[in-house]
Amino acid sequence: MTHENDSCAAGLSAGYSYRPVPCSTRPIIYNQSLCIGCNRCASVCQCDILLPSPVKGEHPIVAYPGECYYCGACVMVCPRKGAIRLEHPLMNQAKYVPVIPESEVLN
Amino acid sequence: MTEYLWPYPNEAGQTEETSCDVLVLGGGLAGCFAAIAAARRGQSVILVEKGATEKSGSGGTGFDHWESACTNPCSKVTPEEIAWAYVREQDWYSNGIGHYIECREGYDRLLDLEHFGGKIRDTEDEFKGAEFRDDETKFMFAYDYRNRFTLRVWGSTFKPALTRELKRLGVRVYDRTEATGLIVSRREGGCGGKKCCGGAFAMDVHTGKFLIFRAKSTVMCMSRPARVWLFNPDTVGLCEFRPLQSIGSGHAMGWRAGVEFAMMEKSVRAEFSAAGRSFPPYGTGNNHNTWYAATMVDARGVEIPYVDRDGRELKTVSERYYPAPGQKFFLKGGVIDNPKYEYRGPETLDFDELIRRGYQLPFYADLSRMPESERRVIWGMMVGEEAKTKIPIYQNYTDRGFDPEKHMLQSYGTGWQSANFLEQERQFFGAPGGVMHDWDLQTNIDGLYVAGDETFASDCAGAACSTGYYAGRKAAESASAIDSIPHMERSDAEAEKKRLLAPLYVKEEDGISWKELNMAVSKAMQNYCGGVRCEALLMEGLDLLGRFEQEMVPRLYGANPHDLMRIHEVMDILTVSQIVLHASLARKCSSEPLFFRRSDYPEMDPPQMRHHILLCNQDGEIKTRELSLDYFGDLKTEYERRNADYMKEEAGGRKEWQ
Ligand SMILES: Cc1cc2nc3c(=O)[nH]c(=O)nc-3n(C[C@H](O)[C@H](O)[C@H](O)COP(=O)(O)OP(=O)(O)OC[C@H]3O[C@@H](n4cnc5c(N)ncnc54)[C@H](O)[C@@H]3O)c2cc1C
Ligand code: SF4
Ligand code: SF4
Repeated sequence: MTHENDSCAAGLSAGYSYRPVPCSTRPIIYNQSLCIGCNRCASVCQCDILLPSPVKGEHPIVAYPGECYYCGACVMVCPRKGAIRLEHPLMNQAKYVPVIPESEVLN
Repeated sequence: MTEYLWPYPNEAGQTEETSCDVLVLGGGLAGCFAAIAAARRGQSVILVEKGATEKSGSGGTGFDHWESACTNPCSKVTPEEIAWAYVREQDWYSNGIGHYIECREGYDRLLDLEHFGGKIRDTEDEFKGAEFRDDETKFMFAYDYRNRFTLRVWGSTFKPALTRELKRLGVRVYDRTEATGLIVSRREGGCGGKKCCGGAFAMDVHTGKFLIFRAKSTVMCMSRPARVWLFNPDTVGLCEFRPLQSIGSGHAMGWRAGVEFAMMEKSVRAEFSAAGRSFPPYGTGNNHNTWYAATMVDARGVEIPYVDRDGRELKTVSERYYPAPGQKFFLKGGVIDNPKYEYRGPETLDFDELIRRGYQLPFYADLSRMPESERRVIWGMMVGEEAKTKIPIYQNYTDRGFDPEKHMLQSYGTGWQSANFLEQERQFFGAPGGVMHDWDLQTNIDGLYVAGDETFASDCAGAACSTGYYAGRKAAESASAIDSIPHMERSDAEAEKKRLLAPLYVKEEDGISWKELNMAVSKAMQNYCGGVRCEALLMEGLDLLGRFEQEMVPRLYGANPHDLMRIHEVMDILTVSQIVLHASLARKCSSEPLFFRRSDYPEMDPPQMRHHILLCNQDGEIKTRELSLDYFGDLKTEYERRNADYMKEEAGGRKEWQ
């Protein structure tokens, strides 16, 4: 059952708007040449940070990058390998080094 | 910055009303299983999920180990042994009911998951012959290889499988819909004069439409609070361990409705916040949880010894997975931090001792020194299936060239968290407080049930799935026993709708943002409710938060339903913070198991204070009552008394569902 639009909200019926919120990191990077604009990534993101592009066929807009939980769901469901990438913030990229063979360990 | 038109329709002001027998709030592991249990019993079911059910919740993109599957055919422990061990390990500030349900029914839920298309066995024989694998059932085990009650699982397959099953069963799933308030009926008659729950209010987070879900019974599965002490306005999604979406709105709506809470005074010094002090979980070198029992080396490449509970140095990798001489089993897992001697398993030498002996930082996890099957199961299966590891860790590190045969991964700090937090930076972690419930997982409000991480002292994924199913089954029984949906006051619905949409009418230039309020709340909580608390500080905290509620909440502004959702979250975080302050005031002692210290009541756990202090809000008045820690009674007896049908018809996967 759906009630009528009530008048107090009528002032907003023109439509909502948004401005993508800037953030110090770039969790999601699209490759437009591979992306088919299917919006699967946007529809699966539990934090709802990706919004369908106003231009049909183009990749979604990363509207709220700071709200990314870095789960990778968007990459997991993308049908076009390489169309979307998720990267940890630089400060969170752990360091790794070559192993020290047991024969070279001084002790 | 470009301004865009919102891609979804504007439905602010519209209301949709619908009804069902059983309403489930939250579509994580617990919620999906609650809905499935009720639908299997022929009830009409609605599931309300704020994100998208396919991959939402803590286990949305996976989890790697399933604890306490005591009834699996390879297990050498009983449900009673493990459930009681948890109760004792947690000094009785423990959810015995939840633990026992997990130990008793968890394996049945695994079989369900397999039936729905999830992967629980090494069907491709990738690890054939490995010490942790049973070659007959193809089950793979973690931690204690002798007793075999923790399974390694392919958790990334679970949420998609559950989502398909919900669809198949005809559950009406409302994705992108946040539940915001409970419908509570106070009418004499129908509920015997007691409060009862008749469903919930919600908002569509794409369109702003107001929804009224009326139901005979309701199950809350909205996980636990967050962002109470930890907030970073830049990388909000990384502030906490659990997903951004879960901030304890179930707690907040429960509080407003009069639900009783336990252990809300408990919080631990933070362990994870990759927005600052820590790294992404499982993404650094360590030897806990997913990475157990990785070989660790120091900066010189010298191996760090593992010892058993008696300090005996273990010579082989294999020995790290067996109990000590004379010990039946050991506990490891999500809520086990520093176990008692009785349950302590193998562990690397204590950090201070290592430094004393000259081991040099930094340390690394060096999988190259492990047997091939152990290396491959940690890097490739566990790191891969564990939440948030498949893409940003396993795939990205591999793309960057990380090879576990050739490289070792650095560890930061001393523990598996790779972090060092301050005392006032706190977190709900390791079995924190939550909603109190009885043996039916029913709250103090009739027709209102709770499951998963929203219950007090909850455990992990296996507990979420099994308590979810159990609550769904009990909610279905209660729904089928009543003929009409409890009464709803129209004025309650109108008030809720107004509350939810109010920020759309505040002008940006007059308002404050949700981030500013969250920042202020978390700073207030660090100041007034940090590591050491006292009456005057706590009262100051309540005063300040009360002022935020009066003066700042009406000034929150938003331009679209996504903003509204984040605003509602912060309003709920404010409420949860107030619950924590009240709970801290009510406990007039300090307590080790609750990680709770009061400078005005420094005595630790005096015997007369060893009980739960239950807390609820009755129309603005805070009520407390005491409840003994062993209120759940003998686990086996009480369980069996209430679940004869289940034991006869379903246990062990004996029922063939359509
Ligand atoms: C990184 C990580 C790794 C983990 N690894 C393991 C592991 O290996 N093994 C293990 O046993 N456990 C693990 N856990 C714990 C386990 O995942 C959780 O205990 C379990 O998923 C809890 O299930 P739940 O259904 O109670 O909550 P969740 O799965 O978190 O689901 C809660 C749901 O409620 C929704 N929700 C929240 N608020 C609202 C609202 N207002 N309206 C509607 N919906 C709402 C959320 O969107 C979410 O989908 C891990 C947790 C994390 C975060
Ligand atoms: S990583 Fe997760 S939270 Fe981030 S955009 Fe992808 S799906 Fe959304
Ligand atoms: S899922 Fe992949 S192809 Fe589809 S819109 Fe997203 S990035 Fe493009």
